[in-house]
Amino acid sequence: MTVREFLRVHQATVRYLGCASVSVGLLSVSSAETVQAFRSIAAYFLGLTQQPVHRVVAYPSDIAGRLMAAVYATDENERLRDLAKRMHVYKIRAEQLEQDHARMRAVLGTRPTGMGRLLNARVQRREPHQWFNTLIIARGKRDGIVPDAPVLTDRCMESVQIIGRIWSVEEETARVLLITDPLSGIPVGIAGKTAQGVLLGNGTPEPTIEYLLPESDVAPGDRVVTVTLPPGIMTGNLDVGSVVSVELSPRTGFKSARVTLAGNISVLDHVLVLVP
Amino acid sequence: MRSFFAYIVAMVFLVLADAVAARLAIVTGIKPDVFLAATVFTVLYRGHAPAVLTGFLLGLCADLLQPTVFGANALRLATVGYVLGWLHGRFNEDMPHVQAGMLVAASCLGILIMGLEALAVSSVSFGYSWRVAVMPPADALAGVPVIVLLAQILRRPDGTS
Repeated sequence: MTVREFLRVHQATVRYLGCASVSVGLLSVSSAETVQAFRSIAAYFLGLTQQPVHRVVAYPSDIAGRLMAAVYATDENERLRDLAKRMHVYKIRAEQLEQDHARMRAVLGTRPTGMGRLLNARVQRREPHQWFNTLIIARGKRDGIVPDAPVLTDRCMESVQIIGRIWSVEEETARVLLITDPLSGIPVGIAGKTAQGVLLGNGTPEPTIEYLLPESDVAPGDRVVTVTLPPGIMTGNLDVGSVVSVELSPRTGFKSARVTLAGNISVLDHVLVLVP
Repeated sequence: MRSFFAYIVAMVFLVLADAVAARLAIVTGIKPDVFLAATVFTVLYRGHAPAVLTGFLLGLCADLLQPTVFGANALRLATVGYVLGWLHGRFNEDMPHVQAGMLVAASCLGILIMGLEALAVSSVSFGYSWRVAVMPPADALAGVPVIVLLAQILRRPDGTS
């Protein structure tokens, strides 16, 4: 028997051995990138033909699903009606709250008279290791924020309290230097008195007023406010906090007063920026 | 030329039928093997040697369409074509119960081969679940219409399939 005759007689076996060899070869290289790329290309073109089929096959099951949904439609309708009623009540309450909020804003807006407008800004970032130093707000040059603009908080709705000033401004963000930061120095005075000094941060929630004259009449409980100093942009009469303790430094000869802040500087989700 | 177009139509039909089966698998959890049915059709109507080659090519096609290890279905269907090919011409291939019986045998053989592949090649997955028991009857149920339709599509000019 010649080779040709053998191949003709055992054609199926020869073919099978060839196909099996190729298959085993493919199994061994199935994870190769070329194979995967080829498969992706084929799947892309075959997927185009399969999508309409999937839609056609899915149609009856969608119909069945809709019929099943219709059975529960009455219950769902009741539930939605109830929800709509509640939503209507919420809407009325929201409108009332909006009016109250607008009124409050109007009141707050008149407090710093003639000193620009208050711009609400969301606190975008506050690093844990710089909690009492700096934070970043989601307002920038585009919104009219300028360097040294006072940053306030209105957590206590009766008034606004200064918590820092704008340190640097980017297009859409700005960095706020909190008054508790050691680099911060703000001119302050005692409300109703002539005493003035510089509020210096010390990294704690209780900054100190330095350079108070020894004869100044400062006592615990006195209200501390900002003072306007030309040519600074800092606006006067902004609430800072109240004096906790006063002591005379024998080394410098000045009095210094520890101040507890009026604004809650620990919890800040949004702030107000006083822009010109 | 007519025969060539008939094979093209048959191939398109198989791809579409596989898409339908894939969609059914989402609902039922079982996917009838359309390419196995086509291999059985070749075994019944075309002969031993063509069944091996057709099984291999259809297996490659199935490997492309399905997220299996490339080459696993090619080896499975080529083996099915080779083993069942010995039965070619021994039965009346037009009888539905013959077709169903061949499909059940092919499905069982396919499961066995996949199990062996899973033992030999770690990347080939084989689910030992209730689906394995349900697959042969499911393949027979879905495969008979596929064989009948293929016989109609690939009908020769003399009227035989």
